[in-house]
Amino acid sequence: MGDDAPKGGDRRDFLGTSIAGTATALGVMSAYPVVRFLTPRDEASERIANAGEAEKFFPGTAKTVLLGDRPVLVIRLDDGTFRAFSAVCTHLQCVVAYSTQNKQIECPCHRGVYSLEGQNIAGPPPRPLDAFVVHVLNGIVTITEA
Amino acid sequence: MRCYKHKLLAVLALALVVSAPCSTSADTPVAAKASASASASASASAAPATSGSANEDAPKPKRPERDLNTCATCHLSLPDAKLRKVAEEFARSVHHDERIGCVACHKGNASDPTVQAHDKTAGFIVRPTHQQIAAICGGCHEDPTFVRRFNARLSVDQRKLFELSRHGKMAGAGDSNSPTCTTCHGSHGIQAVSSPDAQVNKRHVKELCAKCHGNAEFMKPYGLVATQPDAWAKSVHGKAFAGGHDNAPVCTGCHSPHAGTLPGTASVAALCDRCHRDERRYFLESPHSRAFRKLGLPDCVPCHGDHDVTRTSWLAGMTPDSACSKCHSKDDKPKTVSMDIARILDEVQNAEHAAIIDLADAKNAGLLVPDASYTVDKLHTAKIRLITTVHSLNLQQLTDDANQAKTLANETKDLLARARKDRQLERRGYFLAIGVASLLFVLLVAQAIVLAQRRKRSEP
Amino acid sequence: MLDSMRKWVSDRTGAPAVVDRLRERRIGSWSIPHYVGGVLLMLFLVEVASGILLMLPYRPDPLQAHASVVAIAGRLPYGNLVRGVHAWSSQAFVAMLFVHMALTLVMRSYKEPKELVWWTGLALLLVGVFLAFTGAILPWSQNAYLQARVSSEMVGHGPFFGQWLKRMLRGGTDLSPWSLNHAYGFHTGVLPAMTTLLFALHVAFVPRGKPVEGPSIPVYPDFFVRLAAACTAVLAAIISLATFAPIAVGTPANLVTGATTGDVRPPWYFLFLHDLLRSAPPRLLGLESPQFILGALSVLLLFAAALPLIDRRGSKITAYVGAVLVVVFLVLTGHALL
Repeated sequence: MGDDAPKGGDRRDFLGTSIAGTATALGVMSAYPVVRFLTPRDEASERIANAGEAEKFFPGTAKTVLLGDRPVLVIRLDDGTFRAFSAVCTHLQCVVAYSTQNKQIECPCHRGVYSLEGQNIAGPPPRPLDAFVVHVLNGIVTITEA
Repeated sequence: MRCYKHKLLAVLALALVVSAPCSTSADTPVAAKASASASASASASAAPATSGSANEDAPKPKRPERDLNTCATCHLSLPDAKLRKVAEEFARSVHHDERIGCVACHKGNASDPTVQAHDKTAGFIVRPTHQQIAAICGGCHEDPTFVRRFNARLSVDQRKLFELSRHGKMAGAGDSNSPTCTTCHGSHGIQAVSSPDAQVNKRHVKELCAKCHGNAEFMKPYGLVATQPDAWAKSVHGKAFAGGHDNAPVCTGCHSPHAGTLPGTASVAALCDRCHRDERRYFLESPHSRAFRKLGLPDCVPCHGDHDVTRTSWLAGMTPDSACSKCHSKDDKPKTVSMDIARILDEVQNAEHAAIIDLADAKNAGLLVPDASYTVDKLHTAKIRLITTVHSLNLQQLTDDANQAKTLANETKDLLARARKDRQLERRGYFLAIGVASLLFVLLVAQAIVLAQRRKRSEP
Repeated sequence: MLDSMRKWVSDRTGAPAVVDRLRERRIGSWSIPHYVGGVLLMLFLVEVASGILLMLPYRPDPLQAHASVVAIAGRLPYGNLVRGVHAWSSQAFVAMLFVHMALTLVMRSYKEPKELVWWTGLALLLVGVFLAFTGAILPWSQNAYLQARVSSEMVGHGPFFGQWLKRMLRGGTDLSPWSLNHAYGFHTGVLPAMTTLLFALHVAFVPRGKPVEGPSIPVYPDFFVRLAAACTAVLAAIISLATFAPIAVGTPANLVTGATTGDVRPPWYFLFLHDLLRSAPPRLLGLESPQFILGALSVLLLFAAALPLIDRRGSKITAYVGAVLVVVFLVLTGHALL
C-alpha cells in the first residue's frame, strides 16, 4: 500500500492493523468449537456384559466378549473360578488371547505374555492388563467394571 | 425497441404452445411407451396396468337349487316389526349361512313356505325355554366336525364348562335369572366375539357382567355383593383397559367366560401369574408363601385385593393404611423389614421422579440430551424390576437393586448438569464472539469510509 | 515486520500482479448483485466447512441417519452450533440466490456481453436449490422422508427428463435406502463440485475492460472492505440464529406406520409450488396439474435462459415481467404459509 500518499497514514495503518488483529481473533475463536467438535471424548459405554451360561463354560477355556466397545477376555480356570481382563494389549493395543496349552495370556503381535493374574511377564507390554469383575448371576456369567 | 417487445411476446407464446404437447408425452401410461426419453420400465412401475382385469375367466359360485330358508322370505315381509326384526337381525349375524338357517335352532321344516312350517308336532320350537337353550346351542357347538366347517379355531368345550359352572347349574335347575347362552351372546343377532358390535366383545364385557353382578337387588337372593364391576373399573386393570391397553384383563381375563371360576381353581390368585409371573415367583420364594398357606390365605389377594387392585405404593411400611400393618404390628423383625422396604421404595421412586422432571426441564429448555433419555429409561426399568423383586422380601437383593437404580439417577443428574454447563459455556463464547465480530464490523465500515473519502479527494 | 512478510510473499508468488489488477477492476459502488454475490460465495465456503465437519459423524444409512444427527446435536461438543450454522446458512444461501437472480433480471444484467455470466448464474440457481433439497433429506426424520418422497415425485412430473431425473434422485423408481445414499452422494460430492466449478466460471466470465456506468470503486481495497463488512454482519446473524433458534431434529422416519399428518410442508422456497399444487384443479389443458405446473416452470426457465438472445438491448418489459414474477412468488409463498 505504499504508492498512495499516506495522508492520515498513522490512522490508516492503525485501522488496517486493528482489522487484521480483530479478524485473526475472530478466526481463532471460531477454531475453538471446530477443534472441540473434532475431538470428542468417548461417552460412557455399557457397564455390564454377559458371557453365556456358567454350565456351558468349561474350566480351562476362555471367551472374549464385548463390554460396550471394549473386548474383555473371560477365563475359567481349571479350579472353576473365573477371571476377566481387558483383552487389549498394553503395548500397542492388539487383541490378546488365552493359550490353553501354555495356560497364559498371549499377544500374537509382538509376542507379549501375561500371567493368569494379568501381570505382564514377558515381551514388550509395559503394564498389566486391567481386571474386570465376574459374577455368576442366575447361572449366567456376568462381567462388570471393577 | 418496439420490435423487441413484439419478438418477446411472440416467442413466449410460441414456447407455451410448443411445450404443452411435449409435456403430455412425458408421463401418462400409454403415451410414455411411445416417448423416447422415458424408458419402459419407469412408466410400467409409475402407473398401474389399466388394460382389462384378469378375472373374467374365474368360475362363478353355484346357486342352491332350492331356497333352503323360506322362513326369512316370509318373516322379512311381515307387517309386524317384531317378527321382521328377528329375520333382519339374523341376516346380519354370524350364523347367517344357508347351511345353518333358522331350523338349526328352531327345527321345523324350512322348505315349507306356508305357516304349517310352524307345526309344533313336527318338532318346531317357537321359543326355546331357558333350560333348553344350552342343549340347542350345544347341538352344533359341541360337535367339532360341524363347527370346524365354519371356523377352524372355534373351541367345542363351552357347554361342558358352562354346565360345570354355577351359572350352568342354576340355569339347569330352572332358575331363569341365571344366565344361559343367549343371555350374553344374544339370540338372533349374534356377532363374532372379535366384532366391535358383539355383546361379548372385550370392550363390552364389564357392562354385560354388571347387568347382573352390578345390581345389588338382583344379587341379594344369591348372597353376593354387587360391587365387583365398579371396583374393577376403578382398579389399575380397569383404568389401564379404559386407557387403551387392550391386554389388560377384563372380567373374562380371570373368570373363564363359560365356567366362571375354572374347575379346580382354589382362588383367583392362581391366575395372577398368567401375567405377573416374576412377582409370583419371588413371592413363592419368600417367607410369606409358607405363612399364607398355614393361615389358609390365598396368595396375592390379602395385600393387593382382587377386583379393586389399586396402585401399590402405599402397601409397604407400617402406616395404618399399609398392607404390612394388617398382620405385623407387634413383631420386631417384620416391622423393621417392612419399614426398610418402604424406605427403599420411596427413595427409588423419588429418584426416578426427580430424574424425569430434570429431563423434562432440560428438554423444555431446548437441550437435546439423548444419553440422559437413555439413562432415564434404564432407571424406569430398574424401578419396575425393584417393585417386582420386592415380593421376595430379600433385603440384600432389594438394596442392591435400589443402589443400581440410584446410580442411574445420579448418572442422569450428572449428564444433565454437564449439558447445562456446556450450554452456558457456549452462550458465553457466543457473546464474546459477537462482540469481536461487531468490533470487526465497525472497523471495516470505518475503513470503507476512509477509503471512500480518500478516493473522493484524489478522483474529482 | 508486516512489510518484510509482504515482500517475502510477493517475491515468491504472483500476488502483487493480481492485487494490481484488482485495483484496476471497478464495480458499481452500490451494485447490490455484487455484494449479494460475494456474500453467496462466503456462505458457500461456510457451508463447505460446516458440511465437512458434519460429514465426519453422520451415517448415511436409513436406520442410523437420524440417530447420528441426534448424536451430533446432543452429544458432540458444539455439535448443535455446527449443525445450526449449516442449516441456517443454507436458508440464507437460497434466499440470497433468489434475491440475486431477481435483481439481475430486473436490472437486465444478462445482456451482452454478460450472457455467459447469466447462464452460469442460472445453472448455479438450479444447483443451489438441489443442494438445499438433497441436504434437507439427510436427517431422515419423518418430515425429511415425506419431503423426499413428495419432491422427487414432483420432479418426476417434469417435461422430457422428469422420470429420468426422478430415478437419478431416488436411486431407483421408488424411494428406498438407496435414495438416502444418492442424496448424500449428490449433496456432498457432485453438487458442491459443480457449484465450485460454476462459481469460478461465473466470476471468470465477467468481461473486463468495459467501463462501469455511474460511480464505481475498485475491487481492491474498497469493494473487498465493504464486502467483508457485509459478510461479517451476515455471519454474525447466522451464528446468532444457530445459537438461539436451533432447527429441530424431528422424529425418526417411520416408513411403515408413519402416516402423513396434516401439516406437512415443503421448505419455504418450494412453498409457491405447494400453493399452486393445492389450489390448482386436477387437470389443466389436458394435463395433470403437477405436470402442467412443472411444465410451465420449465418453460419459464428456458425463457429465462433464452433472454440474452431474445432481449439483446434489455427492454423494460423484462423488468416488469421480472417484478411481476417476484410479486407472484411472494404472494403464493405468503398464501401457503397461512
